[in-house]
Amino acid sequence: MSLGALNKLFGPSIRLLVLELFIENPDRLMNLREVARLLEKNPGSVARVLPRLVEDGLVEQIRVGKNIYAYRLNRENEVVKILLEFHSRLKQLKIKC
Amino acid sequence: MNESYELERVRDSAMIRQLGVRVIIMRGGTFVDLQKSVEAVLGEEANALLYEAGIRAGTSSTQILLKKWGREDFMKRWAEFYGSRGCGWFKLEEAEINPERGGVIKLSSSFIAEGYGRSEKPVCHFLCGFLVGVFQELLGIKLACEEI
Repeated sequence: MSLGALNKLFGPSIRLLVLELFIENPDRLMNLREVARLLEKNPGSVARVLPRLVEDGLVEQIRVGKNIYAYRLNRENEVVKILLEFHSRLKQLKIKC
Repeated sequence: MNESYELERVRDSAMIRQLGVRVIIMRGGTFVDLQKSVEAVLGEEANALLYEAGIRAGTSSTQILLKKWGREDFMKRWAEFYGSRGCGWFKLEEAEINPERGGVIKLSSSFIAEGYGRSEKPVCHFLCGFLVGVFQELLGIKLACEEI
């Protein structure tokens, strides 16, 4: 997967890559392995940044089974609302960084 | 397995080799200083960076050792090497890997844990990545490692 607009502007950063994946797929429920596969990163690397995104309230952790979790963008979060708008406008600009 | 794991000084060249490969001597605390500096700049992103760096290190180290030892005896030799002298990073206590169900690798004397001091969270991200790199290269499957 190529780097997204946020990553081009502020990265490179695995945290940003993960966050941007959720921003680009705002309603998609993904597990950790799926996130890693889509970003072509090792699941262990994603596991080192995803909990903090949950802690910060940007991503929701949803229990889907015994000890099995999936993740989704927390659209209720005020920062996320701003980020969705910012990301959408940034993509329209088609900036080259 | 009578191979020497001793460090060999290359005469008049300021170089050191182990198992025929150039190595360096670095105080364990120097790596920890580097890790803490990266953490101070990058926050939790540093954990992922160190883990990724470990994967690279484990992959390339295994590629070198596979050429030297071959695949057949590799695990036995690797366990002997890291269970005895190793390279000062850790002592391998146990390694039980099942390609389908995962496994447990028990280490002691981690130079990172020792140098880091007291921490509420795991700190050996580089060594976790290193083990992932080793076993991915060996087994040809994607792995992840969690420190407990």
